[in-house]
Amino acid sequence: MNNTKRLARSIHFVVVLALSCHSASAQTGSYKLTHFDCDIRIADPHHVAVTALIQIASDAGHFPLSLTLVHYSTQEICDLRIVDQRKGPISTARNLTNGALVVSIPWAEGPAVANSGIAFRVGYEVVDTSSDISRIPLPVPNARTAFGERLVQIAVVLPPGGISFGDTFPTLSWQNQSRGETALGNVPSLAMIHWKPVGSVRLADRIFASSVLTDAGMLAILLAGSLVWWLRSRRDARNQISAD
Amino acid sequence: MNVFSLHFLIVLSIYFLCILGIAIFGLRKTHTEDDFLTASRSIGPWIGGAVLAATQISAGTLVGTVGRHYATGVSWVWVWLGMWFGWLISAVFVGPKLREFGAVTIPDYLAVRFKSETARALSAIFIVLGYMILLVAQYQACGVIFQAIFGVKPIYAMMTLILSTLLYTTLGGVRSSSYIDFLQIVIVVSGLLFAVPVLAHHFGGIRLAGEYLTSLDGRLTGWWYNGKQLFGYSLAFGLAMAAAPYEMVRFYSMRDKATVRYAIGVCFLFQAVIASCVLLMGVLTRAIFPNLQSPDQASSIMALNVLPPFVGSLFIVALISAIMSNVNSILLVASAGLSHDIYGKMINPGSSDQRRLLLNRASIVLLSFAPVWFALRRYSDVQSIVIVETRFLASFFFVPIIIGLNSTRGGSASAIGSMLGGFGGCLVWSVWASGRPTNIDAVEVGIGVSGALYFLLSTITQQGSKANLDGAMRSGT
Repeated sequence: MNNTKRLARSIHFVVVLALSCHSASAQTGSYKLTHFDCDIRIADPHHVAVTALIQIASDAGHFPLSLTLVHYSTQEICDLRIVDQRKGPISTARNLTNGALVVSIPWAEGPAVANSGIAFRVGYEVVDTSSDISRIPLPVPNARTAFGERLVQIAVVLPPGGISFGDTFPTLSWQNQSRGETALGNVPSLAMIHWKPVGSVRLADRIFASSVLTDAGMLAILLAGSLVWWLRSRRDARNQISAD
Repeated sequence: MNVFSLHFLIVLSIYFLCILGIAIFGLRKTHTEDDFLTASRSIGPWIGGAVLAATQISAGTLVGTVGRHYATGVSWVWVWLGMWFGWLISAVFVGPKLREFGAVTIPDYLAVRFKSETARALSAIFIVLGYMILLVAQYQACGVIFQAIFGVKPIYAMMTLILSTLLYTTLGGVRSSSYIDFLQIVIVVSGLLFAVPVLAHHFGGIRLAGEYLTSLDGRLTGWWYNGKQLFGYSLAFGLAMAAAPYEMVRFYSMRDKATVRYAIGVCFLFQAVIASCVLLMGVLTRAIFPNLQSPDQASSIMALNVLPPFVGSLFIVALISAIMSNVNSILLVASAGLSHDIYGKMINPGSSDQRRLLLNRASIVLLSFAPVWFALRRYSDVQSIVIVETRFLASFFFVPIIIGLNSTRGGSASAIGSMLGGFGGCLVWSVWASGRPTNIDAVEVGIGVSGALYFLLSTITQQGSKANLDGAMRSGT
């Protein structure tokens, strides 16, 4: 019995040792996102206003806090402003690259909301003069939420008389025809919304959405595969009988 | 219950019904230990290739590798080259020769080739121990997935996984698991092929995703790892793949040597598709959700929040089925180590076929529950646990299996010395190098020590001859 216990203890030791001596280096930063409330208001096909209230805590020193927004080539992000909760402006440094607009915020600029945290409000307008806006960049802070918590609130408001159709990301639950909401565990870098005035949405608009086509394609492959499998097994069974 | 959960439950139920049907089919065809462990050597190249791919494509790939691409970007893709190099070694130097040898388990082969019951016992114990680590990764991944979808505690997810896998593993053995693996790999590949365009469409294109990721961190689209690090990881995966007992036992179930070679080719096809899709999936998920709490969440968050409900559900089912497939293969190999090699050959050599079959099924049940305790403690991320296991596996098995199959050199002392030395070298270096900057990977140390001891001991003891190898081959068949 003692030998068995000793063996079990040795195995436990080796397994724990092996498991503990290597881990991924994927984590970046130690900010924690404690609140993210984003409001997307679509004015017309070429203008969308975005505002977001963001609260962030840090438990391990201060380092550059930043917001990253996807930069779509046909879009322009105008009137970007970041204010604290008393609506005082926060100075920022901005860097526009091919793929993103990175906004750096000095930690000391925001008023503390907890022992070591800040809150601020971000607002901007997305303008696209050449095509309809379907993808809207969201301000992604370099902070993580806690596992399993749905702290990220996103609301989309369509213009009066507008209705959503086809693919939407993130998936929204519609409170009425023009207002959709969702709660997520993590901040997405964009929201995707297709909309049209009520009455102009055709059946084809709903059917030829990528999500419907993808689901249908997958189902078709599985059904076709099952049919081929069934035909092959019937043929094999027939061959077996004739061989016997 | 939301729309996704409902879709998921429907798809999962249909999938489990299919598995149950195949398991019952396997049970009706399984009468002896040989049926159970090798499917009476009846598996053809397409099913065989799918089985090899499904055995390798596990949570380590669909959760761990996607997570690794999510966290570190594109450079991890070079590790696949090491893995494919391992498959080439397997196709030329291992698979056909082992199939010709005709053993039932890897410890069987080592015992006959090196005329050593100690080599048999050591390898059987290592298989049980090493695969316990791999099971920890699979269970942990399953816990993450269920927590993301249903918010349930990981322990419930692990118990569901164990019970459903036990059902088809204990009922039908290798035959039913081979057909289920084929179904699984079809779902995995088609799920990935549909998921990637949807992700790219959502973000607005792969090129834009690349530019966006570059602005987040330039290393994501460049070199996160340096060449030496990638070489170390590739070596670990490649050599472990070439000498992985749970892949090699699949060769035993194939019809003949030619089938083994074709099956490895088919396996390459599946893997090429999977590698490309997994890379794109990881980086596109990073572009859409740049700051996930853990890289291991990338697959499930992507399926839950981005993919359409049916494809998303199917992808999650594919994930779970890949985990089940891997758990199933591991349990078959580890339980064979206990029942066939330790009990049947060492403790009670005169035991009946029926008794060993019963003990095999009992071992599967016992071994499936042991890693739960470790998985609940989450020592590391999934891919890191898989890396640890591959390092030890390669260090322990590569030298005696590859050299043993292809050279007359070496006897029991060299086999035992190389296995213990490889394991010890890898363990000592892993512990020493943990947290220190070093360009030498633990697998390089393990293989080096193992190879050196093999040649040293075979020279000192003068063991091994052409007659020895030929005799072993004959007695194996």
